[in-house]
Amino acid sequence: MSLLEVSGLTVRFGRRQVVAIDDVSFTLGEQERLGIIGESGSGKTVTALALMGLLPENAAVTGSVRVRGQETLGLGEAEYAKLRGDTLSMVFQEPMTALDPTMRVGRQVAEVLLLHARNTSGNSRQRVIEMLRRVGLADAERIADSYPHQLSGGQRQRVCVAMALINSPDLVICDEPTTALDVTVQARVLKVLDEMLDAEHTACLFISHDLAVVSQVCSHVLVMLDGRIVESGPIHRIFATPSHPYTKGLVATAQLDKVAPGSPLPTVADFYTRAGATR
Amino acid sequence: MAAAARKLGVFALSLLLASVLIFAVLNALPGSVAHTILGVDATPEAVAALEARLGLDRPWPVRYVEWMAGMLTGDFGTSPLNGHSVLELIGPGIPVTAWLVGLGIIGSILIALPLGMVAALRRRSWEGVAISAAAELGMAVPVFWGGIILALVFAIELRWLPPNGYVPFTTDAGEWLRHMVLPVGTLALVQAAVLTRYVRSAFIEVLTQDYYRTARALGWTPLRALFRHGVRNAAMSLVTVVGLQLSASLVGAIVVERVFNLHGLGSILIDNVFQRDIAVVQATVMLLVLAVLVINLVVDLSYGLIDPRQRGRR
Amino acid sequence: MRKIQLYTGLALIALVIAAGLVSLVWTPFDPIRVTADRLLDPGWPHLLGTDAMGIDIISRLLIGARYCLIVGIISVSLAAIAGVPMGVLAGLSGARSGWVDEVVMRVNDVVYAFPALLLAMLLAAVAGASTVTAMVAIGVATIPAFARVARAATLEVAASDFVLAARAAGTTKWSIAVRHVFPNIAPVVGVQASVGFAMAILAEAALSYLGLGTPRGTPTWGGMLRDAQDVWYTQPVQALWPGLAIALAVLGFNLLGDGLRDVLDPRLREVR
Repeated sequence: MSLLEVSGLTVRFGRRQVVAIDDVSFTLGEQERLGIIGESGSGKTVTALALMGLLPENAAVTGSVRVRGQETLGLGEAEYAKLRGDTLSMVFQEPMTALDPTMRVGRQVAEVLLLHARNTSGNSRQRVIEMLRRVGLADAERIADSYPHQLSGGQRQRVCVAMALINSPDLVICDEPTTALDVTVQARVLKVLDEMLDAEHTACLFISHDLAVVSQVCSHVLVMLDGRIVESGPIHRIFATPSHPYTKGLVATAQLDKVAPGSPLPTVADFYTRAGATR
Repeated sequence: MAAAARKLGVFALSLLLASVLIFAVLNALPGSVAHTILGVDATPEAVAALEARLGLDRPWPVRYVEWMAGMLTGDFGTSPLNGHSVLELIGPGIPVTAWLVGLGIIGSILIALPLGMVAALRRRSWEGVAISAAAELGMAVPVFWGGIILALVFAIELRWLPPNGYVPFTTDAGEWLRHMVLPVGTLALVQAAVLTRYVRSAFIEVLTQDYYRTARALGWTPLRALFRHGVRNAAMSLVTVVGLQLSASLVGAIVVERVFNLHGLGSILIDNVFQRDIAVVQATVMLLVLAVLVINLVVDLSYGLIDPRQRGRR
Repeated sequence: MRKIQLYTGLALIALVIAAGLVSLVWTPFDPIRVTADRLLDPGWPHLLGTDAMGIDIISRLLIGARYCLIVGIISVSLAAIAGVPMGVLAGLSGARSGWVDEVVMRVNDVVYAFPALLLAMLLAAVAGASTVTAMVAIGVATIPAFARVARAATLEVAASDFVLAARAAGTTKWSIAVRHVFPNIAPVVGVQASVGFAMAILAEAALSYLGLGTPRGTPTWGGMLRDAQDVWYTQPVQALWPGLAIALAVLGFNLLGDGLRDVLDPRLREVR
């Protein structure tokens, strides 16, 4: 039994039943790391939110999502809430807005811990500080007593990682967790995430538009286009022999260091254009 | 602290302007005090004599400064009509109005907060739509009509409560409560209609924020996530609204006092408007405007206490 | 579907206007003359009965619609004519000479601290209670609302590219105000006028109820409620009709305001 089994997942929005993702199926084992890659609007985030059960009310979800064999589609709100933050967890794209501006950071992390606490023994403050330190916030005491607006984007995203991982979830979904960060900060946050996933034995679904970023964290990757999975496999295989033209474009743009001097920079559109799209 | 000092400055300036405005309207417009007392067809000599006796023949800046100096030292002047001290005339009304406004606003918050929350969370299902519609209807109800209807039902038909009158808290707490239920209920219900709409908007705003989604993703149920983040974040916009509501409540209280025949500041003010007792009107309006301005100041200052982002800017 | 608010509002307002217009040429009975048929129950020919003076209630309600509309139109116009240019002036000068903006908005804040009711009391204390003092008081008290709305909208328009372009092309500030700002803030002012109208009706009714507006004898909805309260032990239903009339008129203008806002600014749909 895999940790996560998704089969035939389809999401339609609104009264006109606009299809956002269509028949998405994949499995993820314990401690595995799977990247989902695609451009904005390809259905990556909808997939993530569908797995978390956080789609808006006007979304119709069909298919099957099993977490450790338990079907989660149609699960009651209270049941689902118990899974979230404990078994399943998530890190979002925008660290600037993902934290409540009116609460001290330490308290926000501590509350996640207490929300799912099985044994309330032990000092939650101590565990929060320790967790903040582990995600690379050296001055953890001061950070815990800060408000979000007093922290940098990278620090906030580390706090978000700490919040997502403090209950040692089985699976954490990261939705473009470093896209909003500077390139240098990005690399450091990815490294911390990588270490933390190992230490907590947590599986990861990593969503990005950037194959280069995904390759730093994941071993396998799904390529999504217009709500469908068009290609999947081990990341080294995708890099070596991409089969779908869209994937070829992604691979080329992820390896700009291999572009011959003097030749134009490649874009995805050089390899793949949608039917009916004009350039 | 510079911001707070600035706000205090604005407050003092507003108070000054307001006092000038009140004084100007009451003293500069046609129909002077003496004419009012003596009637339209009083002889000019009689008017002049009365003005001299009341000190009204002196230039208005002198009278303004005198009035202001008096107000600041707690001397609200004397009524030219009956010679009573203004403070003695309006003093007993202050607790009545204060209770009415204070309890009314608390009541409206207690009604509007849960209703607004449900209306926001369930905005696409029937509960939310029903609450919004009820609030829209409630906003159209004039406060005095609401009071009359409540009195008709609970006092005149069912006879559960007295339809009018006031008993001081210190005289008989039980009777005080029985007499306050209808006026306070009226004010609270009518104010709650407006407040519910604002609460709903403020909470919908919170529901669309990323931190709300973060909380959901980490295991909070919708209602608990809304409590955790909503109350604090919505508080910032709601403090403004409650401030406005407090000023509106003061006005509502004036009308409600009339419906239920309570002798608060509003009733006293209206009686003296009819009698054209300028000194009492002047002092009472100034007191009410002072209350409004103080409420605004407190609202302004409290932003910094609620929102940590504002604190750093001081 | 969302336009249901707009249409309901328009229908209610049309009803009030129709009642007011009809009252100009016809009422079922004399709306002012005292008769011996006092306090009749609803029935025929007095469908809603008669009041303590023996006057037909429907006739008085029809006349009341007229007063409610007159007070609304005059006080809202007064407020808009004074408030909108003030707000535009403050908004346009805001960027460059901050003190004009500061002075205009401070004065507005002070007026804002005077609810219509308090102003009306001040005026009534010196000039006596009348329809005119009520209209002036409501109008003046509503100026700040218009000024604020106009200022905010002006700031937005003034920052837009086409105004910058006009400025770069050498157009003067006043010509920009006339050609670009006024047309562009018209929708917002329209919404405010509608909501202001509703508040004016409520304020007028409260003033008449308190005896601080249109004098007793002239049929106004607020005044009718005061009369109804005198007979609430014997004729409780009399308190129903005028209140209902006020509520429907206010609801009409509030719904119109909400509906206009939705039509004009689709972004607000989710929030309202």
